[in-house]
Amino acid sequence: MSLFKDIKALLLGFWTTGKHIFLRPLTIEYPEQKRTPFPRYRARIVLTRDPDGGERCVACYLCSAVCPAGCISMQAAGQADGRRYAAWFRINFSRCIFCGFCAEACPTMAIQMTPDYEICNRKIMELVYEKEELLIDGCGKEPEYNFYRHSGIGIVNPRGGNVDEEPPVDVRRLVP
Amino acid sequence: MIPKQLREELLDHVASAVTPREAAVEVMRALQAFYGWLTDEAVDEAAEILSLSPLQVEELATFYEMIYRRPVGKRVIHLCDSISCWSAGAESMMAYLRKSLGIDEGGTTENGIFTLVPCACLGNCGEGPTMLIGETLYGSLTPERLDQILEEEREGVRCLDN
Amino acid sequence: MIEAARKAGIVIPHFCYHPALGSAGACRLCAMKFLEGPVKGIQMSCMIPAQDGMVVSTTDSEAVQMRSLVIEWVMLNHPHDCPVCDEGGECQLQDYTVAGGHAIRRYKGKKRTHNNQYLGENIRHEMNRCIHCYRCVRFYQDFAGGDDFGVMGRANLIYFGRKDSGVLESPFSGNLVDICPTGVFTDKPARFRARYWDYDMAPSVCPHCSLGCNTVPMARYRELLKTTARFNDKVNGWFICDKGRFGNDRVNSPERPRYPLIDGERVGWDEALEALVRRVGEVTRQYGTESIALVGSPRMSLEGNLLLGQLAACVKAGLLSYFIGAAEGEASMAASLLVGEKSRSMAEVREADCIALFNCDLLEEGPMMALAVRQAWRNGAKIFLVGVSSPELKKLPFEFSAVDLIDEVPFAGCKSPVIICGTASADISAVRKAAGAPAGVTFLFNAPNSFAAAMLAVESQSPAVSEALAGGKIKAVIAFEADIPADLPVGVELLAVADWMPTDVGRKAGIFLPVTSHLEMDGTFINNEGRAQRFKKVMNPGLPIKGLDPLLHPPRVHGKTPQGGDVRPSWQVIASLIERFGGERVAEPLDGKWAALRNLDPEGEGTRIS
Repeated sequence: MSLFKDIKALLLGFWTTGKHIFLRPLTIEYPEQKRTPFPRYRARIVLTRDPDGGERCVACYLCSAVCPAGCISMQAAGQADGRRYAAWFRINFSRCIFCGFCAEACPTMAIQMTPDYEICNRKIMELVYEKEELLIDGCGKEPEYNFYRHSGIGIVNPRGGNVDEEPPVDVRRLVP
Repeated sequence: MIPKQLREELLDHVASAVTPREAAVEVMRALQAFYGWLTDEAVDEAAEILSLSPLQVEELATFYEMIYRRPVGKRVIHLCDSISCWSAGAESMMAYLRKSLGIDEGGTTENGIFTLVPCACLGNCGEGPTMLIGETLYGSLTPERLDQILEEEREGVRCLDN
Repeated sequence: MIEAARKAGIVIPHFCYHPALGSAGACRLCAMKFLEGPVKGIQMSCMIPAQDGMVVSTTDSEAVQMRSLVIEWVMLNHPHDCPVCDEGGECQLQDYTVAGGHAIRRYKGKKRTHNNQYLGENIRHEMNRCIHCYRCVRFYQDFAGGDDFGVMGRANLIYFGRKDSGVLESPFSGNLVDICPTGVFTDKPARFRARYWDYDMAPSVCPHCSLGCNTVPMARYRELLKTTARFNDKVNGWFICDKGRFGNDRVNSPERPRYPLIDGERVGWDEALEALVRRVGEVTRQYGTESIALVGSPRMSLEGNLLLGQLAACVKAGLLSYFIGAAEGEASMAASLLVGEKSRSMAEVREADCIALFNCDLLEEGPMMALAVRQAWRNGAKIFLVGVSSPELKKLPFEFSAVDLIDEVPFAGCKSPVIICGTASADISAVRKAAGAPAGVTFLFNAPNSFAAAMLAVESQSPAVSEALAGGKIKAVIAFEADIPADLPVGVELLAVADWMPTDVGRKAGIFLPVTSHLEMDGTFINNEGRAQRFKKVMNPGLPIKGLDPLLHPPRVHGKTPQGGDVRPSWQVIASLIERFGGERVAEPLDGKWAALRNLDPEGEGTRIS
């Protein structure tokens, strides 16, 4: 009896496998054929610019703090007009696990994930991207946001000049 | 610069106070009466008379709303906008004053006579709406009464000028 | 109530209350529900003294709701700039906002804004962030006695600043940075440089004067970015002076020597040490060991100075010295001998009822002592200034009466009188005089470890260097972190210097050994009252990455030791010299009667020796 059972199981297995000879394959022939990932796919990280063309990244260190692989490092610095920016910004893609926490943490929408997943390299040092390689000319997925138009410290607009702000208080004014 | 006599009077007053800071309001009021408003120069002079730092005088000067740190007209109208006067119609009195004087809150008329400022309770709630000009308190205001008061005050200024 | 809860291990959130400044009841954040006892209902816990029989709830829903509403009100006008704010990450407002659960601004009105003031090169002003807790003005005017910074206006116009833009005058202004619960005042030299979680930091001791104020230096990428105060009730309390806070340039100086040199040529450590041993040998053969001088320093750690004594015994040096000038050495030695039981800490100065300032310029020799004297004065102590009064002294943040002689100070009726005596300009008779008066004594020295150096100098009966050099016997000088004059007498054939600061004498040295600053090593300083305090290594030595030029990256190669990072603590250098001169291997620099200091808690209050 058990022999009959074994043969039945064997045939069933072959049948299940053999069936797929006549079905359309699910896999594709990479690299000859390439799939287009969804826009939310998490691969190569970029630094974007705001709609006015300025660098969005203010080097607030939140992405490097949240990064579980510890692959982001940077140095913040200030411009003469008070704008904060990253003097250098480095992502080590050989360590990156593409979890997307950095993009989630970014308060200025600067750091974003792109669907470009083809960044393998045999030379590890070439996987260490510097700011020039990360910074793109565009807003990425967030076409509207400019942090300094909401931050309320008078960088893009004069102090008290943003939409949700009163003009600066004159402490000596007559009206109480 | 204030006259020597005024300065000495103030110094005497400060000397008689328990602490100099106590006399600050009187000194600032005297200087304001002399200059018309408490100018930057007046703040420095007050500081020197009171042996405080200019900042410490500035702290007090900007705290009290009847010490003026900006130029004002010869008559400053303090119109109460607190709850009792407000419910008795202070808003429309303010609108009327704005219209008849042609200025906004905090503004001074072109002829330099009136400055219009809203203020908190003047303690005359039973006769709201209320306003204070100089040291005179006016209650139960109506547009007609306002016209009359303004004319009297203008007359007063004219007499003084002549 | 807040303090009672803190003792019971319960943290009550608060902004305006500060242990050193007391309660103001301004922020309304410490609302608690009082369930039983003399007061009932929602009350501000900073304003209610704790009493027996009180039952108070921090978690009562009414109290929790009150606190979360308070946070929402406080945040009404707060700008949306945390990413570019230097306080972010170490901000009380940020913490409590998250804790209170406030995330979306419900109020749709416009935000109030202010213009900022220039407050000098050390402090950055950003008034939009203010939450009106009044801590700054209470510290600046009440606690520290400054009169050029305050609060102006009323109601929604409230403005904390100076009358006009300008440099803050108080020598304690830097504490505004620490005391502000949000980012109105931030450290300007460290602006935009790092976040709290990225700093290399450790408990440390300020090296700028002899008071030994406790600090937490914060460094990143081998660059000291800022220094903050660390609480030590016995020494500095909550605060430090601006000299200590903003005196970070010495450690970061690009001029700092970082490589061993022989006659100006860069060499390895072994080579340099061997050369030193060889040259000392040559001098010894020619002139005898009597001609060798070893010089320690009141700014070197206790460990280094102790081992120097062993090294001197090893080479049988003719001179072991810890001080340069004779007057300074004498006064410091006498002071260290005389204090004993009479020595008073800064905490005791704060509680004194009669203080005599003798031979000292407080704001120069120990600014924090002036702040301590001010606290005594605020509590009703009488202050006497003995001898001359220069116009500079008028800036002292307390009132005093001038007397001509120390004997005129009426110590008799006082419970806890203290004499504060400087040693920089004092001669030995003044020091004796101070020590002999019927009062406690606090001496001020000119270096962080003067007390230890003086103790060791007394033990070894060592004279000051300048005297010995003038004698002409000395042919070899080996100096550790010592500020000896650069123009040595002609007869000196060997000059070896170990230092971390660029000095003139270091540049002239035949053999130069680079050592670590106190931030790059563990060690011990003994402060002016004889309190031994441990400081911990804050950062690794080496050239800092200063990638401020956007075209410049940190190096893309990796190495174990950073460039210029092969410097060693003085005591280790001395220990290896002891070995090379045939002595025993030193495993532990604190030995014998000093062994008790081995387990000194760097975060504790320190241990009073003698």
